Amino acid sequence: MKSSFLIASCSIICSLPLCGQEAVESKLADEVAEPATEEKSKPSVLTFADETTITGFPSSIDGAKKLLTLKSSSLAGETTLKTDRLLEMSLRGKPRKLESDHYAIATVKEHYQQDFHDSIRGRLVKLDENEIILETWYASQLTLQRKFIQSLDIYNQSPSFYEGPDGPEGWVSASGDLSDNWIFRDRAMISKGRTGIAREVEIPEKAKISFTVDWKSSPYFRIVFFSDDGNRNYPNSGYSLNVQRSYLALYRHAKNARNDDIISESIRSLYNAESATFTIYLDRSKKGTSAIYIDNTEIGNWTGTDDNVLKGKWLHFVPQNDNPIRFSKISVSQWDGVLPARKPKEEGEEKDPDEKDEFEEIRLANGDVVSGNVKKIDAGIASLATGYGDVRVPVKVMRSVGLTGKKDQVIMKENDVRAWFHEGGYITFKLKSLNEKTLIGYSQAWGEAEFDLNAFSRIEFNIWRPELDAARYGTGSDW
Amino acid sequence: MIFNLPAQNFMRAFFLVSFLLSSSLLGEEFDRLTLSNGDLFVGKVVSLDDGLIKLQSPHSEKLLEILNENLLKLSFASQAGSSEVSNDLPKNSQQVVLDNGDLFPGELVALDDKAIIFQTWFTGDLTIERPQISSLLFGVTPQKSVYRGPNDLDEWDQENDRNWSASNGTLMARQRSTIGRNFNLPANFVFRSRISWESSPNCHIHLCSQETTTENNHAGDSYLVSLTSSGVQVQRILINDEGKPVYQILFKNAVSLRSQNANSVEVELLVNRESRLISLYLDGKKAGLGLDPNEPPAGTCAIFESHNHADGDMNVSEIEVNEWDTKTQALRREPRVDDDSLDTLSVNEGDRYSGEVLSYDPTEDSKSFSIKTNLAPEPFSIPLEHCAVMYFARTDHEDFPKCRYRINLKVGGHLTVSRIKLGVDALTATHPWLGTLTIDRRVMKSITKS
Repeated sequence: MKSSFLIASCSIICSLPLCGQEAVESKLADEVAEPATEEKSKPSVLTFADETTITGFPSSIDGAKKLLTLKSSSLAGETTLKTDRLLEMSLRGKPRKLESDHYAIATVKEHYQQDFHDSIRGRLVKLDENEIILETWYASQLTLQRKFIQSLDIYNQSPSFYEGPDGPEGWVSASGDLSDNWIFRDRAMISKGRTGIAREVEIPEKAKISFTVDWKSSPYFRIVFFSDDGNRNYPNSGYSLNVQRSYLALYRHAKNARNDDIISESIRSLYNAESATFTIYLDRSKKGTSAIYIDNTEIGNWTGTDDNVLKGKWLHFVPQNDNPIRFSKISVSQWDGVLPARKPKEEGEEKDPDEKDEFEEIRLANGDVVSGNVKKIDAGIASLATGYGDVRVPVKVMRSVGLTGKKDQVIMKENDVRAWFHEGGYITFKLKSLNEKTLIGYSQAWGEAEFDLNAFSRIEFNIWRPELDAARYGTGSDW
Repeated sequence: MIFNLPAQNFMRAFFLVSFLLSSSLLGEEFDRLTLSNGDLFVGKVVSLDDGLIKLQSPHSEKLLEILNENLLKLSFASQAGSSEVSNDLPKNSQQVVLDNGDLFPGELVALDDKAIIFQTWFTGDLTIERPQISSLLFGVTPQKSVYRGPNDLDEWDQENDRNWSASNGTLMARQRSTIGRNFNLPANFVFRSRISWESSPNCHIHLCSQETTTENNHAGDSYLVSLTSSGVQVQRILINDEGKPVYQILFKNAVSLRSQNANSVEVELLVNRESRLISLYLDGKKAGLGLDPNEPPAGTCAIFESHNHADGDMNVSEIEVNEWDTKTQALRREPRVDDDSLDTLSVNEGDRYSGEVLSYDPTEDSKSFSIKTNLAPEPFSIPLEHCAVMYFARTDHEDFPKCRYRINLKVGGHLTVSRIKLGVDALTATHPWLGTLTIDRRVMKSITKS
């Protein structure tokens, strides 16, 4: 039982913003913003295991026959290709934006022995002991089988601001031509020299910046964020995270303020490593605590710097010598404000996963935790049944629902593909068919559904064939 | 059970397919077509003409019909692991350079005051008018490739696995350390590599050693090439009766490797163990020649040794080792005389004769050129075996029209052509000066299109 978390009271709940029916009605949810201008459609790029790369407009895919038909400016007429060695198809459609007062993300339990976690985001419409219904702009309502859903998180704005790199678009080089200084390959960017690379990224009030860096000799680079000038390796303002061999230093440069030496640490683990994942947790508020983690270990934290005064949006990656360095898995996303090591731990003995709790743990935006069950969701208001009676809470002030009950894994299917959303995350499903505008896929988690192709930035094929991994991800030493 | 297939069968299928793919897809057994929009097609080019390229692709049941208008480059399949210069194709020791820049190997079989006949194995005998020829190069037999890299760290031996790393064809030293491998160095060889540094040059190259690592700072019986900011030095290391190294300086040169803030140098060593001569070239310029008075070292290994302590301060790249016939010294030739209305015949010894090359008789034992100069009343003969290069007098000739295709040859050189048509075995093309050519497909390394 989670009696210690049981803090529910009507007064607390009603202190949360937008609790009233009027406020909810004022933003009723599923208005979908169309793209401002209809851009001329751009072709897809098909990449095969033998490096064959074809640009064109796919007109159909027959999942069962593993055949794809496309029109390409490189080829005479319409061409049918086999997909059994197809690694990936990029999609260049323009995603639309769900104008909702919240974003719910349902994370699907991983496939057998896989690290990939599917996630679907949309407006939370229904939650009961069997199903979760999300309203999406790309597949209408998706009914998720709850037993396959590992977690349900809710954000008050779009939870991700950048995920990549998928290519050079949006990046600028501090000097010279971008392609002279950086190589984009396998969703990573590799330096050719010392010239930095930067892009503008919106960084929310509470943000998580993470990236993986690989080096060949030893790490020697700088990361700059909140910078005001993407064209300079040494901008006037922002944070500079400097890594040299096993030494890490963080400096803060703000106009009309003294430069702060925030962190200065020797990191032994970097000395013998050739790769590390950095995560920077940022709370920009006056009293906020921020921190840097390397490979899930806290390196240092700082409090009270009031980073809202830093208006720059540029995020830089700057090599400090000529040895190549590779940055990948760059992500800028919302952060719930709780540092990993500080997240409350479960009390008592480890729980039997099959054991069904009487109540779910529902976290709210103000940090409160309510133990209860979602009885229904109507017009953006969730009715929660708690030990203290029923409570009505706007969905947008909920932050997560701890899903109890037995969990199951989705079966791997031979024709499974992994489709990556423009807005972050991906889903895995059996691809049944695809035409110029939509695809039809099946997953145990959500059944059969038709998706707007504009939702996806790329589709990976033959994902369960490890013999293609070297071609898909590269070998460790070939970058 | 997660997958639909029984797990064991599934894994067996994985490994089988994995093996087949790794042996077929990752080599260079396929032609590669690069288009101007970045598209790349891999397969077997069945035909190519100015309209369409037909490709047998593993991704299509039918032949893919690729539009030629987008063609940028067609690279032909090569044997896995083959070097830039194929070891299996016929070789010629002569090369003709046309006035438009085209060059290709073959053998001179006739010369008169109007033209030469140049015999090639891949496109037959060619009659080339003298005004269209820039030069004839002699003694340029492509040398057998022994090694080209570095490719992968696994093919190297280190004292400590973490001292060196490899990336994009470059070995990078983390600290003072060695890295070596058994190149199976032949008796006579050319060893080439680029050494670069962050602060200053400070490294050794051990050649002809028995081992791939050093012990007590030396590699045993071997040659030792030292590159520092104060110059270069080549020494012979001998092991005395007490097992200790004895150093003999073969030659040294106080050349500044850091002039004009240079941070790299191409090092080329021509090692002739039969005559015990070792020559050093730095960035193509001769930096020294030494005679080893001892029995040459018999080892087949080479070692790079970084003396820099700073991380990433020494890199090694563009390593190339070729067998050496001890005659070929491509591109180290005297230039033509200032008066380019004269023919120039330069010989290996460095002598140079200008005048008119009258004839060539390939039937004589000596295969001599007859040249008339202003210095002698009578023409005199120069045997082919002494010739390094012949420059033809510059005279007016028909301009070379713009052609869209350049055929790069596996045996070195290239031809500029138009109106190409590629079949399974040969390519036909029009060369504005040489006429219609039928070129053996085996000789073609790539076709680029402008």
